[in-house]
Amino acid sequence: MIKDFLKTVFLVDLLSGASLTFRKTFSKTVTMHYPDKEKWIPYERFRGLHYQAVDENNELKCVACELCARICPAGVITIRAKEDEKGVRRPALYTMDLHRCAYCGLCEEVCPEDAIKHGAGYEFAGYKREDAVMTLEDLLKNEPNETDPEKMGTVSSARLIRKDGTLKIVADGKKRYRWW
Amino acid sequence: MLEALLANTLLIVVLKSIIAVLIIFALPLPFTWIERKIAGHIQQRPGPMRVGFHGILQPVADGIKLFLKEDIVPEKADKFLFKLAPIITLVPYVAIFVAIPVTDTIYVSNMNIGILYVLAIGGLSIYGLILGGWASNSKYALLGGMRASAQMISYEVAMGFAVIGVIMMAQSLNMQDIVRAQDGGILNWNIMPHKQLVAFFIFMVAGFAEANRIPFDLTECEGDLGCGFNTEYSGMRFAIFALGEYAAMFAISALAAVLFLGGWNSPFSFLDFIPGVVWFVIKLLFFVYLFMWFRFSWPRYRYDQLMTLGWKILIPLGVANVLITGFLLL
Repeated sequence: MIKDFLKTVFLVDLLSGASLTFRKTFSKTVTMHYPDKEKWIPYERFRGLHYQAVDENNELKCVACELCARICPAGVITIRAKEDEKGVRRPALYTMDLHRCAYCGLCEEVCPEDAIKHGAGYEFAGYKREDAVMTLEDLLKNEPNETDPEKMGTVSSARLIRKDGTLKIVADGKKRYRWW
Repeated sequence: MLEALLANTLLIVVLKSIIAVLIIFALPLPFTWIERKIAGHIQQRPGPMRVGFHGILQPVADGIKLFLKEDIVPEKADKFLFKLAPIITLVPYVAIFVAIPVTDTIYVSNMNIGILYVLAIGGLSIYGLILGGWASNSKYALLGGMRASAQMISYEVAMGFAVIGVIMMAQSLNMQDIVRAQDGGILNWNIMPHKQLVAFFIFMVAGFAEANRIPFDLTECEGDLGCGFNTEYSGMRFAIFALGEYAAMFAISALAAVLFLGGWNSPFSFLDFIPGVVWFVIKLLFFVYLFMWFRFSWPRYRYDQLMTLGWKILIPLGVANVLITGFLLL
C-alpha cells in the first residue's frame, strides 16, 4: 500500500518506461531496407508470379493442352493452340490475367509437362491495369524460385532500378543474412 | 541627432524581431526530422530514410506537400474565425521569445516584467485552439477545443505558482535578473533541491500540458477525437497549428532553461570559456529532447486523471512551495 503510494509519487512506472525507450534508442534497428537496399528471397515452396519453364534446348515445355485453363477456379488463363514447324502443338497465345489469380497453385499441379510454374516474383504493383496481364513473353521472363537452401529465406542486398517507367528490385546476393 | 538615434534603435528592434521570427519559423523544419528519427529509433526502426541522406530532406518534401494541398474550409464553418484560429495559436508563442534572454547581450527586449509578460502572452494562445475547435462546426473539433480550454486554464495556475517560487528567489520579475540570481555554478541553479526542485517539477508537468504534448495531448487525442481541435484543418492551416505546437515546445524549453537551469551560465567555473549562447542552446535542446523522448514513451492521461493531477496535486503543491519558500527566505 505504502509502496504503491511511493511508486506513484516518485513516478517509478513512468521513469522505468522512459529508461526502457532510452536504451532502445541506441540499439540496432531491425528494419529490412526493402525497396532501396535489401530484398527478401522466398523459399522454394513459395507461390509467386508464374513462369513458363523451358527444356534443355531452350524450347517451351507447354503443349497447349489447356488443362490449366480448365482447372483454374478464377478463369485466369486464356490459351489458343497452334502447330509449329515441327508439327508439335504449342500455344499461339497464352495470357494470364493476374488481377483474378488467387495463387492457389492448381495450374502448377495439373500441368502434365511441368511447364507452368510458380516463381519467386512478389512485386505485383504496376502503373496500368495491363501491367498485371502476363503474355507468353512476360511469363518467360519471370524468375523461378531459389532452390539453394543456403539462399532460401534470406535477406539479400539489392538495387532499385528505375527504367522506362517501371521499377525493378534486383537482388545481387553480395550480402546475405537471415532476418529472423 | 536624437531622431537618428531613435530611428536606429527602432531599426535594431525591428531587425531583432524579424530574426527571432525567422528562427522560430525555420526551427520546425529540422526538428520534425529529428523528432521522427527519435520516434523511429525508440521503436527500433530507422525513421525517414529515403529523401536525401538519411531522410534529412524529408521536412522539405512534407512542407512542399502541405503548401500544394487544397485549402479546405468546411461549408458550415465560421469562415473568418476558422481562418483566424491558427494564427492566434502561433503568434503568442512567437511573441514569448521577445522576452527570453539568450545571453546578457543577445535578446530582443529586456523588460522589467519579463516573466509576467511571458505568462500573460502564453495564456492567449488557448484562444486559437478554442476558436479553431468551435469554428470548425464539428463535434470532434469542438470537444478538442473544450478540453483545450479546461486543460490549459487549470495548468496555467499551477505554472504560475511554480514561477512565483522562482521570482521569490530572484526578487525580480526581470528575466535577466532571474538568470543572474543563479550565477556561480550548478549549485546555485534553481533546479537544485535546496532551491526550487519542486517548482521545477510542477513547471515541467504544467509545461507539457501547456504545449499539448504527450502525456497531456488530450486536445488532439487521435484515439477518441479524430484529431481534436484541428480535425477539419488541412494544408497550410494545419501546418501552422503544427508550427504553433513546435513554437510552444521551444518556448517552454527556453523558459525552463532560463528559470531553472541558469540560462547562459555554465555549470562549473572551469567551463566558463564556452560562450553563454552554447550553454543556452544545450539546455534548450536537452528540454526539447525530453519532450520528444517522453512523447514516444508514455501513454496519454485520461481526462479526469488530468484534472485530478492539476487541481488536487499540482496546485496545492505549488501553494505549499510558495509558502515554504517565503518562510525560508524570511
